[in-house]
Amino acid sequence: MALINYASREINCKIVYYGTGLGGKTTNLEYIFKQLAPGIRGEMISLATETERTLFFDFLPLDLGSVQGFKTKFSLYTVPGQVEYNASRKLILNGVDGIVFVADSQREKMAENIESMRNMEENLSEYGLTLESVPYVLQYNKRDLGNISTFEELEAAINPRGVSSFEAVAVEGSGVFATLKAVSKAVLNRLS
Amino acid sequence: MLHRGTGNLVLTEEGIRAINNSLGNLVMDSGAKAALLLDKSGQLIAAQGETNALDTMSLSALITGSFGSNKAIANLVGETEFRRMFQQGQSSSIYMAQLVTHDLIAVIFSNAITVGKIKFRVDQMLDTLNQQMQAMYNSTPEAPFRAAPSAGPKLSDLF
Ligand SMILES: Nc1nc2c(ncn2[C@@H]2O[C@H](COP(=O)(O)OP(=O)(O)O)[C@@H](O)[C@H]2O)c(=O)[nH]1
Ligand SMILES: [Mg+2]
Repeated sequence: MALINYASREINCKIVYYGTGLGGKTTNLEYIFKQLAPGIRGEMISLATETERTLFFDFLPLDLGSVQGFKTKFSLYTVPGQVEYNASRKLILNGVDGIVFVADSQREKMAENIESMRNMEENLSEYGLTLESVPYVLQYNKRDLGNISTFEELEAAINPRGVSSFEAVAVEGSGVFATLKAVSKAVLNRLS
Repeated sequence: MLHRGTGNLVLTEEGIRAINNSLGNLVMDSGAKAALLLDKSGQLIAAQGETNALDTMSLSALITGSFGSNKAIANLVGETEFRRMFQQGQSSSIYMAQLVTHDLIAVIFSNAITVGKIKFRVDQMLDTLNQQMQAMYNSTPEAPFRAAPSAGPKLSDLF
């Protein structure tokens, strides 16, 4: 849920990167953090385990500047992908305005992607939300690897609604900003 | 008209003024350093006191997260939730309480002040804050943007 402050003329929106563990969610945020000037992005906070896997969430605030007279800020979050951390995933979806679902393109990850999508819908439903009510986009990540599903196979498996989808190599940054721009637009469109 | 699917929270000028007034009084009466009001998604609604030195955005995300994870702990010991939380540091501490709207108030205070005093003052203020936040949730949403597409070029400039 966007926070719309008419006193300070500020809008705050929450965007969550969701998807299977090790799919590249944290890598997306790290690339965004590296590329944007410090005035546009704040500090990135990662609550990670010693082995660098996301334990609770990553958090990166962005300041998009003024959009139609409103200072517009986005809070980007990632969820932990590990199956056993569902309580954390559910918590982070509270008040979500837009979702980037990061799928791992590797063939052997297809079943995990499908399960993660199902898990996301289930967790959204706890807040009375559905994939019809929350804007979301898909990112097919790790396109640089060898044994990957085709774009069409991924579309057929996890994009039945035909929302915007992007191929990405998050470690190199390709597709990262296209994805962010698409979800940002979708979220801002909801506010008019 | 705004989509209510994701239930946007609209903060009106009068509403924010009233809340800032409550938080300001709380800071003054208790001697706390700062008082923050956070919404349940982890965003800052209002803050009063010495807030310049604070990274309020990160604080909001982390406090909301820790409150949420403590709710899960509560469930494991047979409680539905912990409505209050207290974090004690070397020289300053944080006291947190949940409103009926599930938004949170967090008070940062020097350890020269007892947690009992802070708790007392927060409890005194809770009813007022509950009413003020409920009024905001009930206010009629109005779309902030007249036309969406003009956000497009702005985003292209940035990313
Ligand atoms: N080959 C390849 N590796 C990637 C890509 N994106 C992320 N990774 C790697 O995949 C691993 C998991 O990434 P991470 O962002 O931590 O995944 P998360 O669990 O979704 O947050 C890391 O070792 C990344 O460097 C990519 O596009 N291609
Ligand atoms: Mg991660």
